[in-house]
Amino acid sequence: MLVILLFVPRFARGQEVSIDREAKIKAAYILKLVSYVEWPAAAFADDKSPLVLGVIGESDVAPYVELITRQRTVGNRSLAFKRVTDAEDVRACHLLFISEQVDQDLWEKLTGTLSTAPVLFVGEESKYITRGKVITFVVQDNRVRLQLSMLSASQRNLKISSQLAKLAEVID
Amino acid sequence: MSKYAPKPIVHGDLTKKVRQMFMQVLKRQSIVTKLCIHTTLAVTVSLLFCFAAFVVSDAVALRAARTEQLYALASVLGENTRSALEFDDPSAAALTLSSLAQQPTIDFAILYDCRGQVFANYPAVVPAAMEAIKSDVAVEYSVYYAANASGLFFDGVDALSQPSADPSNSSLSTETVGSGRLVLHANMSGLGSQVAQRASLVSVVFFGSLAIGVVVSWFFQSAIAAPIKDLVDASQYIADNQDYSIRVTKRADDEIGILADAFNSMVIRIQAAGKELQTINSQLEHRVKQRTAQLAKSNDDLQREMAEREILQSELVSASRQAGMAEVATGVLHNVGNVLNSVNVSANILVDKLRQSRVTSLKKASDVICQESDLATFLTKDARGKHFPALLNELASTLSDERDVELQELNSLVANIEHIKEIVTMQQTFARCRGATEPLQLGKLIENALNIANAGFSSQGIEIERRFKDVPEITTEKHKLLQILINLLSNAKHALDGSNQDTKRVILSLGSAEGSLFVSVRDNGIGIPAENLTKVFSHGFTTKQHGHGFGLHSSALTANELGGALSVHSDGQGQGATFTLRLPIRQIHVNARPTELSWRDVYSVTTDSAGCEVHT
Repeated sequence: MLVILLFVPRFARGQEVSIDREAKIKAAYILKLVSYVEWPAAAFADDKSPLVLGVIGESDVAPYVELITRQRTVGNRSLAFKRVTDAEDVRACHLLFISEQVDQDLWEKLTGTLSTAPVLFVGEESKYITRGKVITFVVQDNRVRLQLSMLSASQRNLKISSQLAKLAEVID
Repeated sequence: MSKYAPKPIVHGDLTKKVRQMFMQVLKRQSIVTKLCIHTTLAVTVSLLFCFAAFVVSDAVALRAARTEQLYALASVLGENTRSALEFDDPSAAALTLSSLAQQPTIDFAILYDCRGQVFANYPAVVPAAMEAIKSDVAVEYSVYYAANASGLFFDGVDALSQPSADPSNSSLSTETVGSGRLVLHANMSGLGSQVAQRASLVSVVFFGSLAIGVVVSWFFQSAIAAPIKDLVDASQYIADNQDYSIRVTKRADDEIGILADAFNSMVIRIQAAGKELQTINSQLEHRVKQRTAQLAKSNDDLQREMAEREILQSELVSASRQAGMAEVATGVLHNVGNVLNSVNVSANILVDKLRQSRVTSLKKASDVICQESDLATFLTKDARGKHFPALLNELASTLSDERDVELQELNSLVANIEHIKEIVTMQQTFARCRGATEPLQLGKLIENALNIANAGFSSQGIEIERRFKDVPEITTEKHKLLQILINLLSNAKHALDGSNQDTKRVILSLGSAEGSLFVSVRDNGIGIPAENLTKVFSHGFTTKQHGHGFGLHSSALTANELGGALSVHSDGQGQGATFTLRLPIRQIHVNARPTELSWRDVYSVTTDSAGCEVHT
């Protein structure tokens, strides 16, 4: 009886898996992306400085990102989570996830002042936010695919692994 | 070369046979060839072993290298598929795997994700079809990658609902890393050709090495073979030419050098021995010559002696012929003389009788009657006339008596004359009948012989004892047998002449045994010493003062001619002797004539002469 009760909630959640799973996958991808990107040395204060993952705007993904930064390391660096509300906060981040619900003004500001900052801008497919992103998550055939802007990456002085480039749809 | 290559061991007998065949072939080869064959075999075997080991190790190494290469390929590909796994992009993984098209040895490749499900494969066919492909080798590489959301957040809702969960909960971090597997199935098809390529290279090297080895061994074999060849040549030369002056040059101090030394010293010894032998030989030749000369001289002497002997022999023959004639004449004349004695006595008696005869008284009486005219008156009146009839009567009876005595004497005379005639006739008969056989009673023949020899026996007062048994008739040459018997009797008489025995006796025996007849003449005369027993039948042996040693010799020869034998036995001097003649009952023709002058020749001459004597 106990076993059945344990299984019921799992079964019930299966109905809303598309929403829930998408956010998780995106968070996981964010974590994985870090491995395929090389930041310029100047982006870090020293070797031990944490790699900071920032989120701007309200998003389902944000809690998961925060969750995965806990007790996790990439290489020698620990991960840190930062909720960005101001343009200046972005400079402290190495990766910034831009939610679809980001404030337009703030976004304009970010793309204006921080168009060359060594921050990996990761966003979702959006009508409003079309430029400035290095990596864009695109949902195709119930799968999360990547779009890569090599131009943006080079502008931001970021080296994208060929492995990642192979996976992604390179747009420019 | 393949002929000498070791054959694979299939069966014990086969190995033995191959070995035997190999040995048989080797036997006929020269030592140089043997050395080459040995070297070549050794080189071949060792090279084969080395190259086989090389090829095998090469094949193993090639395989290992291929496998290692596969591992490297798998690791590179695996690493290249990591991002595809991480970002859950099978098409990207398939694209990566499609690069395997450049690797013809790869049969197929399958990439499994961390859940063990096929993530991507190469070539892009149904995985089940791939499993059917049988590959030579499979290489697996584990791809560690950050798991997908389901791995990262094994229960994302729970995790979110409990943000303050224990930070030390390691399950989260461990679950984040998944392990995919890239399995490469490859074949080693290229490997075989690669190995074959290596093997062909190796075989080229093998034959090259072999050729070099053979050439080198051929080059160096002279070091071993040349001294042996020297020895062989030297031995051959010595054997062919008998020349021991040749020596072998010693080339080295090895075993062959020792052999050469030994050979040389041996040859030196043989040479010395040969010289010695030659010396001895020449000496020997000299001695042989000397001896030959001596022998030739002896031979000449012998020849001369033989010639002399022949002359002596002929002289002896003539002497014995004369002696024989004399003997026969003596026998005949003796017998005749004996009878003539009786004839003489008879004649004398007759003469006396006739001289004293009363015939004269008768004459006187008849004269008286004639003178008287008147016979009747005279007879009746005259005194004398009256006695006349009585006187006549007496005269008649006396004359009758005389006639009786004289008739008796005359009869005796006639008988004696008849005896003489018989003797002469017998002699003539024996003289005529030579070489003819006739059936005869041996007993009668012995009596004949005794008759002929009787004069001698009776005059000596020798007793004759006869021990005759009934024997069958024998067919043989009568006169020869008679001659033997006369000889034996004569011999016995002579033996008794020289004896001092009171009773001189000759025992004549006749018997038969085992198809033979035996006649023995035994006397108790002077006997024969043991040392002379073997000589009595030799020609020229005699103990008589006037003997010529011919009688017993010729008797023995004659006995042989008749198919019999003559033997003698004596217990020694003064013990008498027994001569035994054995004759076969059946006549045996003996064709072989003795090489010596035979008795027949002597006898024929003798009897002819004797015959002539008798006839004159």
